[in-house]
Amino acid sequence: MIENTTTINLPPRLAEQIQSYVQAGWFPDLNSLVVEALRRYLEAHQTELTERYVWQDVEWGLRGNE
Amino acid sequence: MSEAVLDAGPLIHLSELDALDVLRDMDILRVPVAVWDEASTHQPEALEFPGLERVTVPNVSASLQIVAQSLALDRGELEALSLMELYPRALFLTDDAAARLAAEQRGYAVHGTIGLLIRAVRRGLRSAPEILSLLRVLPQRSTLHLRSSLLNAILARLENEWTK
Repeated sequence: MIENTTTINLPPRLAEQIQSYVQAGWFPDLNSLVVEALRRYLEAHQTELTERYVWQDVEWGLRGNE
Repeated sequence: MSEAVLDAGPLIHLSELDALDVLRDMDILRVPVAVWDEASTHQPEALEFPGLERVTVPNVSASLQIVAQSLALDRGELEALSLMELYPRALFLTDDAAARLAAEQRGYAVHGTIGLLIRAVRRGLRSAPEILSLLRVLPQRSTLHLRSSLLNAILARLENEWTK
């Protein structure tokens, strides 16, 4: 796996919550937590997302102004 | 000038429907190498559509690598998003929910096969009956999978819209 470094800006309260999870040992580091959160979000919302995007496409197809 | 970056989904699905012509009013159609290769494997006739520009993608940014890892994007989606970083005003064409989520988060305009088909009526590229016919045979003629009740709801919405 390729290792990369990036910077993300978090609201202070969210950052504190995340830090508490890492300190408690739920995740080895911030990156692992963010990756897992995104993966779980997508798994949980795949169908919902797909349908939302399809309806967005319908409206864009009908009324887009590009 | 209108320009688009294509992921494999719309390229393959529109080709399966013989409907790549709905892209003909776009001035530049960029296809990353990984997407080109994917289409070459699954739907090579798609690549015969005139105006497709095969583009080698430069280095992928670190932030995009992490997004790709998080969302389990494939190489084609990663290259397409990477190309969008170079052409952020382009329209990103994908049918993949994860790639679309990543694109939305980065502020890109992004749409898929269904939107392109419907847009073709608005742009005068296809008639409404033609597009309704294509959508009705979508499950049989393409590998774009939509829940049947969702497709029926879309058809009802369009029939209502186009017969006003």
